[in-house]
Amino acid sequence: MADIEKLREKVLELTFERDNALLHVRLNQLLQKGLDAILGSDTLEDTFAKFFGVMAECVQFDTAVLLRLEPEHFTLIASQHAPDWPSQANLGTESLAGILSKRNVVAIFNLGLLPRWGESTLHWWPGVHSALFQSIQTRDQRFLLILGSYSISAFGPSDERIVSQFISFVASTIASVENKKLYLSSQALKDRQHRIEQSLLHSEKMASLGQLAAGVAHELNNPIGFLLSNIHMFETYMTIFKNLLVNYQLLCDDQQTEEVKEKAKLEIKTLRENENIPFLLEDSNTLIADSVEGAIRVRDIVQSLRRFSHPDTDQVELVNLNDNLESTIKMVGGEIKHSLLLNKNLYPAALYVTGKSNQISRVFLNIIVNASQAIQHDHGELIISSGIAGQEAWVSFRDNGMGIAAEHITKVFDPFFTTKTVGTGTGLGLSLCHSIMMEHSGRIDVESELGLYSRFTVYFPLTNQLQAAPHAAGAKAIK
Amino acid sequence: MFEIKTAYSKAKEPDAMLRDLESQLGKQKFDFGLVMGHHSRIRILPELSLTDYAEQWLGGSSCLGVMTEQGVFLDQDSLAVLMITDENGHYGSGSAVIEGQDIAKATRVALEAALNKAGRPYEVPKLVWCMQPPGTEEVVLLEIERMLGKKVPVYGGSSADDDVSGQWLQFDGQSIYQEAIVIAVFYPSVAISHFFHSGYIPTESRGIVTKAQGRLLQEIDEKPAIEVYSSWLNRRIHSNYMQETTLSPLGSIIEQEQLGIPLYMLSLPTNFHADGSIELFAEVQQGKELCLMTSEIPRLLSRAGTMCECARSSLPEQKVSGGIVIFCGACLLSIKEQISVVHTNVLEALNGAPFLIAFTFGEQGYAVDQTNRHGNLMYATVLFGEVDG
Repeated sequence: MADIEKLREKVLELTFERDNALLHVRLNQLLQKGLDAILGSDTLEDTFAKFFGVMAECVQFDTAVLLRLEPEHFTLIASQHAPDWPSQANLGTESLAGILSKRNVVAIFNLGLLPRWGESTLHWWPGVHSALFQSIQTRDQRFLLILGSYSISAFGPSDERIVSQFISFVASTIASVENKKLYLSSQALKDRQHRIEQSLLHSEKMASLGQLAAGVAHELNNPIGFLLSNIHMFETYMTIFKNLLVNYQLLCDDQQTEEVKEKAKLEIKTLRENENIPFLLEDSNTLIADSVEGAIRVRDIVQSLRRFSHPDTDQVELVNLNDNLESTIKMVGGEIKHSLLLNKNLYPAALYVTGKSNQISRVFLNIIVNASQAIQHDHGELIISSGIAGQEAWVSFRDNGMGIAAEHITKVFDPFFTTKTVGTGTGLGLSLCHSIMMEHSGRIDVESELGLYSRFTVYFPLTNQLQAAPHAAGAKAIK
Repeated sequence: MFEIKTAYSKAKEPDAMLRDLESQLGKQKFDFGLVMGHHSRIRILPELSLTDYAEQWLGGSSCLGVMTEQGVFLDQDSLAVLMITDENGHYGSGSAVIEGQDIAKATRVALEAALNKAGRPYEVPKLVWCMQPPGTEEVVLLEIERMLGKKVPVYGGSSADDDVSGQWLQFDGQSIYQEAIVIAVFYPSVAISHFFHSGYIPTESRGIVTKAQGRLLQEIDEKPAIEVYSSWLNRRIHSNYMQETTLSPLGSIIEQEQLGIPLYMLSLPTNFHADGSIELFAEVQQGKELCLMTSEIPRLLSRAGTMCECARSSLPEQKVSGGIVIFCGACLLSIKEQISVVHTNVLEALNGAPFLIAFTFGEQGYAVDQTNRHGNLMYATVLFGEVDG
């Protein structure tokens, strides 16, 4: 008998622990059903309305309302057995804050004792004696769930615990759903932004091309001009050389008469007396060499232009920033070489980053063109440096142009911001540079002092294929 | 921030008592204070300015003395305080003298005052603590339930002396009373866990209460109660009743549908009258089954510790800030020499957290059948967690 009774005692102890476990089981069931209600509802209001049914399985109540709280009034969102509640009422939430006293759930044993709220709720809820107040905070709205009972003191700490945990779950689930929706809409916005940026990029490219056209045309015109001139000159030389050759052929031909040969001798003599044949021969070599050089320059410019005009859907590839810089400088060299001295101090090894080569070129091109435009004196200088800082590769462009006013420095990357005269700038160049750098998980910084200098520095995450093959890196000037 | 601290004093003079408290508590101001101690020390509490430490107090006399995590103080010259600091909690206490036997009215007045002082006159507390003279408990519980409902756990212990000579006292922070109800309401910012049970098991000796009036048990199975009780014990009852019956109380059987296992609320026989009736320390109802209960000393020694372990297991992460344990004064008198075992068990169960154990003549708590009950020879444990549940 004693052993059996001791076992019974043990059972009672376990009952205590089981009751606590049962509370969790009830809560889990509630959460499961609550989740179903959330997933099966289209609107927040619909979700809460369904909760009344779910909660009734775990907490006994006779009537319920769900209110949305605003600074000076509430709006009735959903209700159950509460026909007299107004759709809106002007009850301040200050007194309610006092009731809740920084807590989310409060069981009221006598509604009539609630200052202000109690009197009104008794009016709208005749016969309802006790209530459970549960506040619900979502991302940007605050709700109040009130469960009412006709019984005296119907709610206790265990009800508070169940409702509080359930609502906490509901609020966090709703917040997650809202976050997901926000994420999706933010993704849509990002896609849209990307499309706009692509469009802007294209516009900027066109504008940049327009700006470059004159410089490029000049650059092409130069070699083509002396190519034509050389060819014309060489054509003249060729006429003399042909005459000489024809007469030498006649002299060497045994079948020709002496008269013909004498005439040829005379022609050769005249040509040698009138033309400086050794000079012509030497100059021909020069003409050909110059022409080849001119043709190579034309080819390089055309290649650089082709790279610039590649479509923006280029594959991401391993880009050596130093090579990319050289290529860009080549393309823009004709435009800037008359206005500034370009000094390069590049990292002695290849600086590999992952990105779109043409877009990186565009960043460099925009900054270089801006630098040349910022220099309005005759001792302009642009220093282009590159290097590594931590896990980043950087390229900086320091010009000694007019600088940027302090009030403008935070706006230079804003779209459509420009200080250039109307028609000469789109205000998109640096904004696009910024976008491109963001797209490359990099950044662009600017520092400047008005009237002295500007320095733009771009940073790229360093790709782990840095090929360290350092070579002498002395600054090299071109003019 | 939630924090519990305890302090004790064995001083006789108010000034020395205050110095003892100050040396252990510092000059900190608390949100609530529970003070329990021997009636000789409780008696001088009004001479202390305890409101310097807390505005809200509940206290009373404890049989022989008290225990805290700092030690066993059962030499009839001690008291101890358990102080609560809780930035985000609310606490209130109220008191009312029982006038003209109107226990319900005194309870109502005390409870309303406590709710108002907590600043929550409309809100269901997480816990109610009551302190009253022996004999009033059932009415006190009924009135609290009438006002706050059945779902609020009500714990407490009736004020006690050493020998049921009526020297028990209640204290509300300012005054002491012999016939007053003192009630405290708790809205702590941390989780609480509580357990109320006895260390007794039923025997096969059972009978139906055929005649009873409140706490006076007149007949069992239509025979004089003393006759039946003596036959169950197989001996005649003589003087010094309480100690003689401590290990053999009567249990009212409460059927529990949920479990199918009966629950026993214990009544301690205290006086045996010439007319064959027995006076108990708790009410019995006519028509209900009564059972002779029994226990063993080792069981009484271990019970408080296991109950604390049980209660602690349901706190978040089983972390406890501190606790209050009510231990039946009659049980104490039976195991007084070995009471340090209880202290060690509770200390281990609470992992060194501060606690106060008081010894009372009647215990109240939220029983396993989720009803607030009054019983004798019971243990009541209330633990405070470190975080909210």
